[in-house]
Amino acid sequence: MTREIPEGVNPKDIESVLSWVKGSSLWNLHFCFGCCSTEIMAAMMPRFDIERFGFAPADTPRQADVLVANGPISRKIVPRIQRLWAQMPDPKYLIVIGACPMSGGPYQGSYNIVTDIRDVLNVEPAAFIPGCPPNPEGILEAFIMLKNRIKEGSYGKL
Amino acid sequence: MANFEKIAATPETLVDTARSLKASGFTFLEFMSAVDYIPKNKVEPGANRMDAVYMLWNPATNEQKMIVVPLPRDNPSVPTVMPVWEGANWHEREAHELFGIDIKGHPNLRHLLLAEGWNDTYPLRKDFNVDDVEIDWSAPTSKLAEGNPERVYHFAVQHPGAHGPQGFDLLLDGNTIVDAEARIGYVHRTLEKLGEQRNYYQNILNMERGCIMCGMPYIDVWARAVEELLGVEVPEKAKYLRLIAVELNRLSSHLLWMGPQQGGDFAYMPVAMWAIGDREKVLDLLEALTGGRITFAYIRPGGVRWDIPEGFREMAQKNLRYLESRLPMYEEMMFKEPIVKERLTGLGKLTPEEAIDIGVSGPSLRATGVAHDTRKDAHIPVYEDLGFQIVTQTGGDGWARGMVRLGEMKESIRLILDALDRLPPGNSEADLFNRRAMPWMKVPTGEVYAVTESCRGRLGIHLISDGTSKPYRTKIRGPSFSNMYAVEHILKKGSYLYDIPALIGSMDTCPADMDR
Repeated sequence: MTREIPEGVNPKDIESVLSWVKGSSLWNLHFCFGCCSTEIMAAMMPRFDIERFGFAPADTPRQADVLVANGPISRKIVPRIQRLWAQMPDPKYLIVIGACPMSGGPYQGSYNIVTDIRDVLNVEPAAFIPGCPPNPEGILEAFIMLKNRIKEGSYGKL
Repeated sequence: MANFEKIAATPETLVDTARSLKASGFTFLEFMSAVDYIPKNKVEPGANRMDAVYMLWNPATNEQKMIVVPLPRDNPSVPTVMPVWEGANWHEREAHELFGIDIKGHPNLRHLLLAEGWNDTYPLRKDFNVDDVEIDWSAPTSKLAEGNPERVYHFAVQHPGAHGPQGFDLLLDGNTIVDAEARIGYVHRTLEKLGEQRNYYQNILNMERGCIMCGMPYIDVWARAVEELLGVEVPEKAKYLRLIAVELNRLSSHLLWMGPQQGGDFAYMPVAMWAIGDREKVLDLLEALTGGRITFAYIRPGGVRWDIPEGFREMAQKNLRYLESRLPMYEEMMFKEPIVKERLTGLGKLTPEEAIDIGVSGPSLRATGVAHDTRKDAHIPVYEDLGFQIVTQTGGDGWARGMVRLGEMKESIRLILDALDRLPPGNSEADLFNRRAMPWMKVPTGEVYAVTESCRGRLGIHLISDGTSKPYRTKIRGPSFSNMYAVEHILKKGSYLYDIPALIGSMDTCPADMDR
């Protein structure tokens, strides 16, 4: 299928509209597999209320845009995360919350923990907020960072 | 030397010993595990054996006894004690996969915490090498899935109704559950092995991540286990501060349970939202006291890190009085509301005998009418001085469990306010050792079992020290482990598919706590 741009329309305008659309309603996959999910929940609920920025949890990977890696990745959960990531439609983004998915965090040296999510999913995270766990403000910042980068058009081009 | 009595047995006499102990009042199996002694160990130099250990508790007299079965390291094997205590099932599976002990007569020796296709390497053995691990990813996820691959319904791993990576493989007849098998272990962070790799000071951080929703009881019990080995007496003020910290954490955990766990399950969002909004008030107090919202590192061996900050007393009174004024509203909305009440009544009913047999503890046990709370049973400091009352209900179902937690919230608020009023003067930390030297602190050889009541039930730490700066063995009894087994037990008795989220919510199981 070819995509033809009608005459008189600037291709950059289409791209900026697309970026605006993509960045304005990001659904993150509801998948809590770590401690930081407690703070993600706090970020979604009163006081922090992530929904006012246009983020909401999606129950199935097929409707999700963002995978939030929110805890230590055990060997047992690796194939499940890979499958969930594969089920998510493009464009999709990975956000890493907390130290564990990037370095093992406090569980470094454990026989059951994979220390780097990049080895598992083969993708660079769009945002990484270190902490054990980061505050809800930090989690909000990660989402807003992702949103701004998509809206600027510097991230997640189709 | 230990703070409990040890009873020796052999594989042949094990079941009879267990039966006679159960008949004499030791009805509660806390855990079954093992201790691996290789010849170069420093606890008993030269010993080359593996001890299978069964920790028992007598609820009537609060006595602890441990059955110790010495086994050869190369081919350890014991008969199952499931005919005596049904709750031994998962503990024996855990000992099988982590220590390689063959359990004779066990119905299902598949991996529970480790990945399904994990090869014959046993991580908690002292000579374990992580490079030997190989995983066969084609292994079926459960025994049910093995027999009926095309009929099994997977309620796992990513399921919005499951509160984290815990779930079941189910055989269904329409909506009715015919058979169920739990799938856990997705957040097995190996805290027990890490406990052996870290020193006593670093372990504070590890232990409080044992259950992220209530980490304070974990560090409290860890600190008390280490203090018992060191022979340190904690100052009176630290005991009060510990109680305040633990009870604040319990409040935040129970509010989390009432909100997203139970209210959220019914898509009953007003309660979910308001409870979390009110939980922020408790987290504000915890942040003011400890510096952290959900991880604290506040309690450490010898006392607590610092005294209450300026203005904390007034802040606590203001926030907790507000919370107290909200509780009747929650009671009205959640537990007296006819639809919710009807949904919860009869949900996951347990009898007291079943609950004790499985090893259920905490609010789920007290909801069956059994008045056992470790805070009172084990005489945790200053609870009895403050006139602590055990909250019980008699229904044994979801509604009764909720009412117990609601009553505990009221009791916690009262305890915190009373403790703040009666806070004694003095130091908040024992002045015994140099703080800077604490990471290298050596702990005398010994064995100890410390218990406390976490937000989910009876939490214990079995700690063996070999006289160095790192523990020789750390066994954690996470209450959710047995409580989750109770969920599987209830589902097997016949239940409906749509009961699962509500049931997991009402038992308040925490995946981190059960997988450790």
